Amino acid sequence: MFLIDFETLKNFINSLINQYEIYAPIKKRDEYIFEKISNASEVVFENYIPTVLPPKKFLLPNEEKILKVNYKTKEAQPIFESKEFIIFGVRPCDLTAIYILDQIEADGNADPYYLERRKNAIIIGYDCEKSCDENALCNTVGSINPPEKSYDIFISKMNNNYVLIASTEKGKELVKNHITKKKNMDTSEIKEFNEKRAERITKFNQNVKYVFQDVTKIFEKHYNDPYWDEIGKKCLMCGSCIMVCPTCYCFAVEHEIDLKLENVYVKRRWDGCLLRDFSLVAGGHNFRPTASMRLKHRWNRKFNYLFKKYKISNCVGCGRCGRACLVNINPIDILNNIMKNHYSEVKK
Amino acid sequence: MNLNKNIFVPEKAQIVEIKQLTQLEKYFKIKLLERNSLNHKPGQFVMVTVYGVGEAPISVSSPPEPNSNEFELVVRKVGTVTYAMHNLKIGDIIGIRGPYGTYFSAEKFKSKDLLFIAGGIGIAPLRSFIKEVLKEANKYRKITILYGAKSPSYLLFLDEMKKWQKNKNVTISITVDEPDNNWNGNVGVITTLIPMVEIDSLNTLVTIVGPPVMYKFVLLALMSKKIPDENIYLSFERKMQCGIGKCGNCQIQNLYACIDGPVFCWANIKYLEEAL
Repeated sequence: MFLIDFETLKNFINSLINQYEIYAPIKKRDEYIFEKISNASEVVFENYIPTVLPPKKFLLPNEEKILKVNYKTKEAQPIFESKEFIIFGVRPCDLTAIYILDQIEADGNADPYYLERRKNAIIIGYDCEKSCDENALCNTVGSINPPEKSYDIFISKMNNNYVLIASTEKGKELVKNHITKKKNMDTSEIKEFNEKRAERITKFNQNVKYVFQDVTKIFEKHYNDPYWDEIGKKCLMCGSCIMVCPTCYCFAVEHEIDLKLENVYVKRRWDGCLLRDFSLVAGGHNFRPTASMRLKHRWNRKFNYLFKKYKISNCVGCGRCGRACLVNINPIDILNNIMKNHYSEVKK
Repeated sequence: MNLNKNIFVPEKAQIVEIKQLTQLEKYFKIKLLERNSLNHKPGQFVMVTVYGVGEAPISVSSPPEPNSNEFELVVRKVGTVTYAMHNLKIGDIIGIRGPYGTYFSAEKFKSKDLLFIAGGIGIAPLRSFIKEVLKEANKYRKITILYGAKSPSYLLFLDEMKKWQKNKNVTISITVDEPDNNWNGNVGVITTLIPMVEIDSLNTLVTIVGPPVMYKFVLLALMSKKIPDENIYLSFERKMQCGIGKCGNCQIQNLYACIDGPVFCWANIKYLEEAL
């Protein structure tokens, strides 16, 4: 663990820019986005709400060509274009999401495209000192302390200085090669850091009134809670929530022929359960026709099915879906309303 | 199979025979160009690529043939990819991935009864299983096939069924919803055939493949015959974009039709509200 000052942190970023493509949160109009930077001065470090899209877009792009097929010979070549790059300033919620995607994409039939990009990604996390706004539920779902495997370097602010933890060989190399002015933290400094970091929990939202770990049990047992119909009446099925979610990973596949009829590109793009075509089969039957069924499915994925399978909440509490929703449907209300209806029974 | 191969790359296969079966359905015999056998089991599906159009999951309609690089598909012209398939000609190249998914097995029902229930195009995947079973028809006690279609012109494989019936223990009943002037057989939905079958409820394996709406009514009819849920198997149609448990389109609550299915035991899914 190293201690550096703000000047050194900026120099570190600038030194990395000389060698790598580096993406970091920047301000764009009134919002924040992950974008390629050319100087550390562009980076926003604090006091901003999560970026419009999570850094997932670098690992699982909204649209990607996965195969190039010669239209004449039908010979197919996988397309891998990724090279080593850095994502700087990834918040604990988004780090937790990357950890979750790492499990899911490597599970069963591993996704070669995700794994290739992930292998090339150097991830520098940046700690939060408090909740970003009232939509955040990171403290509830348990993502304010990101899993160690989700980052190469993790940076926390302490007394106007910055604590660096390099958790991988790649991270240690970067710290070694790009930071000259750094101080090895002594035991008392580490103790102070750990205490301060533990204390900061009081500055995070406590917006869910029930023990979160009981959620899978309640969702499983009360699959048909009437709250789904209530919010189903409001939902426009626009899909904003799935487009901004850091753990949604479902996709659609399309073929595109170039104008010369030489190559077919097999492309995949984000898709998800809130959208009409997602569960519609060719005969015209839609297996999940209503908004209430789709919301129920999406949130059971986050709080029940995948939570149970991977032993971690698949909602990481970033709050993006709540902010993006046009009719104010958000996970905090979903948890409070559904758990309220059945909580006493769980506690028996 | 090469384990290092990219799981999204289809292998090339050639159409070697095409038959127009009905107004909507065509039969395709496919020859693999890169392998000696598809090595599938009854009820499994392949992802079929029509280059430049897309990919769709299609159940294999022929029984396993370990020594042949050919297999059969029956395709109803209903969506983008299947429309394009109907425009293909003998000699054309398509892409194949798979076989994928769970499968049917009658292994535990030797010297017992088998009941097959097919609705519409559901006969296509079921044909794979029926023909596999009929390779050793005498190992089973009674084999009953119930088959329903919209109208006589949509009935598939009638010629083959005549051959199947030459086995002494095979009985086939067919019904149509909308008869034409030449039809002398049963009229009505498939459930009307079930009361006519004598079922040894504890010793019968029931396999059902048909459209979503059919399952509910067939299952109710089977329950009144007291058939244990463990002995009922069905195959589900869902939208699929990958076939390998990644794209999410085919989810049935926590299950994936592509890897946990398409063949499910009714006992395992009867509690899932999204199943039917």
